[in-house]
Amino acid sequence: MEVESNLLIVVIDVNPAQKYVRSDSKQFFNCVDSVLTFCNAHLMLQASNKACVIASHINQSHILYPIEEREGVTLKPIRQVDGQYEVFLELEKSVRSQIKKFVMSDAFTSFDSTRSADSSGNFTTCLASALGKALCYINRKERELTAGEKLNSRILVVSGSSESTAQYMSFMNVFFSAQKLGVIIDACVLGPYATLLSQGADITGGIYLRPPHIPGLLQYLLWVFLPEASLRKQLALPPPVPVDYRAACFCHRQLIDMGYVCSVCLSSK
Amino acid sequence: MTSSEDVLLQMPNVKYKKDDGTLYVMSERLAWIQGNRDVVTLSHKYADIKSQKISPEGKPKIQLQIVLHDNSTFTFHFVNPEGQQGQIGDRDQVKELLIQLLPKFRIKVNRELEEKNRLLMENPRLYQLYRDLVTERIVTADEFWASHAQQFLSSQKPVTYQEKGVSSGFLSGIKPETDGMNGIRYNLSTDVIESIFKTYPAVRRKHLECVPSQMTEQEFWTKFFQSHYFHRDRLPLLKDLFSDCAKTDDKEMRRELEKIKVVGSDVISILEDSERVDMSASEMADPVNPKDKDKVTAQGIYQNMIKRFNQHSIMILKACERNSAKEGESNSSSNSAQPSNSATDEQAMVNGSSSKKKKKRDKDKDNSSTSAAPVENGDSGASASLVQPLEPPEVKRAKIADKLAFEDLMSTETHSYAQLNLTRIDRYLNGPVPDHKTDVVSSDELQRASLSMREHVPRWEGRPRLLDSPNAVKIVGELQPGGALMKGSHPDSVALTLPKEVEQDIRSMYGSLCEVLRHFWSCFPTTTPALEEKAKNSYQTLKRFEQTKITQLKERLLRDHLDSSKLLSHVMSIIAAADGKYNQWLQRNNRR
Repeated sequence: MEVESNLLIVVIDVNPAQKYVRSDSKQFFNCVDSVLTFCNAHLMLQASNKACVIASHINQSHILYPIEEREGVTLKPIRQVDGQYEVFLELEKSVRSQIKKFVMSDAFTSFDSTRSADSSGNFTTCLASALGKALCYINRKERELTAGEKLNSRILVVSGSSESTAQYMSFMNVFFSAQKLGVIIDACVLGPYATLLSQGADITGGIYLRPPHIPGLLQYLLWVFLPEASLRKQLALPPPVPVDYRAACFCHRQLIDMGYVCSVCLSSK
Repeated sequence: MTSSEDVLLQMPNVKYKKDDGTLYVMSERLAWIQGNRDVVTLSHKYADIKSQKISPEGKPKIQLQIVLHDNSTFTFHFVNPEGQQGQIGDRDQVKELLIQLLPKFRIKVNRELEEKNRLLMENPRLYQLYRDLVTERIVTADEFWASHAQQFLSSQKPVTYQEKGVSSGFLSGIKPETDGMNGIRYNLSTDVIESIFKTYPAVRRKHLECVPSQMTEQEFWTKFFQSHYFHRDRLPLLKDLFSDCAKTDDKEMRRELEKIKVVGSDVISILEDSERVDMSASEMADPVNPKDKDKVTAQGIYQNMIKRFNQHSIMILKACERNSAKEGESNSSSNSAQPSNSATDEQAMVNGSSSKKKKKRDKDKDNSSTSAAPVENGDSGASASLVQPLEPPEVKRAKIADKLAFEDLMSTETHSYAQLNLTRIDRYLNGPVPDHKTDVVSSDELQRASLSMREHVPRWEGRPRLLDSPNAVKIVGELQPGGALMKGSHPDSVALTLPKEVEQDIRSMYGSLCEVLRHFWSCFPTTTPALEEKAKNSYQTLKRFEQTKITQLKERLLRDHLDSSKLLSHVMSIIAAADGKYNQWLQRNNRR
């Protein structure tokens, strides 16, 4: 019999430059808790379901869960506390402790503007690299499958950063690789309209959503993003936002209706 | 019922199912009356009869079988007391008459119907239209074919069937069977004979010349299989009926090659070249004794074979060329090819059983011919080659290469690549998304934010309440159909919930309606009386369609799916548009 499991990878943007974080840092932790609850809900749906959480910062991204197994380091088996399912507890504990550790670390607050800011002086999250990491993780998990197992993977991006055009190429590469792998990229955007992420969701067949009330993030997540791809057809979910695929002129960054592509460098004018 | 028809032939002494009776070949039907009764026991219209078959020669019972279109068969046994000869005579009389009669009744109507049927099967949309319009009696079948399916019918007409080619293995397909008596038996079907004729036109000519007058069909084929012409790849030569065929073939080939020569390349000289090598080789081996030539022709055989392949190819090409002209020619030339396809079928059917001719061939004869001294090598063109000035083969090859290669198609060896110099690489890498300058964060601000996050960390304990009920209710409102986030989500949600078959019905109804409307609108402006007439007709058709199909569908939708009248709103609006147009036109017409 075929064992089917669903792998959910959540990419959380931990960049303090996000607007909602700047306005109230408590909101950030609320969002992380929402994501954790959401992951637990996902794990609860089916015993074979898997989850993975990746944090993405200005110039780095880390896998928060599952914790990397290093040789020589034996992880303490997590014991049940007040009757909570061990997997939930493990997920919650490891993500929380890692985020805490990360926020307290020096790397978190060192903003070397020459190194980490992009050309326009923006401190943007390197979401593309986090997505790339997620795809690599999915790829590894696919390889580890034994015969008769099937893994459905999808990625959810929870981010409020304004996006950087510097990552455009990387984003597109990630989106098209995901499309090729059959991985859905959902985007839950907590900031301004994210053109690239909406394109990515459209390319990979995911959902792009900008929740109007960030405090109620958990409900949006559970409502919109929890059902797996095959179920979504049956549900009345928010309709896809029309995606603007118009290209922008490379020299003036203006959106154009009709572009001319240079056959040598493939830039459009 | 039979009295109105002419009896063309009355054949007594015919048994059907062991009962004696009389077979009547009438102008429209074949009938059999048992004994002396005056009731017609069996009666079949010729139109119902697919084919007739006769018992093979040599069988003690002389029978004739007719096969109907439903594949039921009726066998008549001829029992003329005059003996077998008389029986065969009787049978042949009937057969000949049937051969004449049947094709006439393989009626056009039948063909057309079949054609239409096929069209309907091949075009599901047309079929749907047919079902909607004709079976619902909105238009008559004739009208349907005349107007709605015109383009299908007309587009089908110019299709002519491509003539079947000759299977390359047809000769090996004739499996000789030994009959145990030191002889070999060939079974030839009309197909095979056709193929032989196509491959060897010379044989066809020979056949035309000889068969009716000088020898029987059977003798001819026996001779053919014995002939060196057929066996010349294997053994050389016996003077016989077909020897001149080989010569004409060679001439033919030479002529073809001459044609090619006109076109440009010098293939013929290559051919001669190889022939000459062959010749000289054999001459060198023994210029005196012509017998030895055959020994050398081990190589010669291969060459012959290659020559024949070439000839075969030429014949195929020529067959394509003459396809169009062929019809008339084949008509007169062969006894088995008849003017129309249907007639050929018929004949083939008749011949089917009788044309399995027995060909016998003595194996001894075969063997003896091996030792028989050859006279000519079949290279009748060899003498011609001597006239040509001698050229070394290399020169010729170079000539051919010259003809085949074109300088301007050669690649020039110089490759130049344009170097891509980017002055600012990030411009190339940076995407075409306009930068959002709106949300620029200074590093100070960032620092502050991160520090406040850090401050908050110790307080991040336990499980806070993530969602309170007012928020939850608000969000439910947003995510419900009609909510802020669901705008434009399901404008036609009813359509999505419809069962498949209803959807299918609506779809097909749309197709048919559009077709009807298309005809209606194509009448305007009505410049001729015919168009006016058509406009009226098609409007009536439209009304009938509306009354039957659409009302039906509407009622059904109302009954089964309460809210779905909306689905048909567009349909109603396009019908209303047609209504408006028609009324306007009528008014204007009346005023005039």
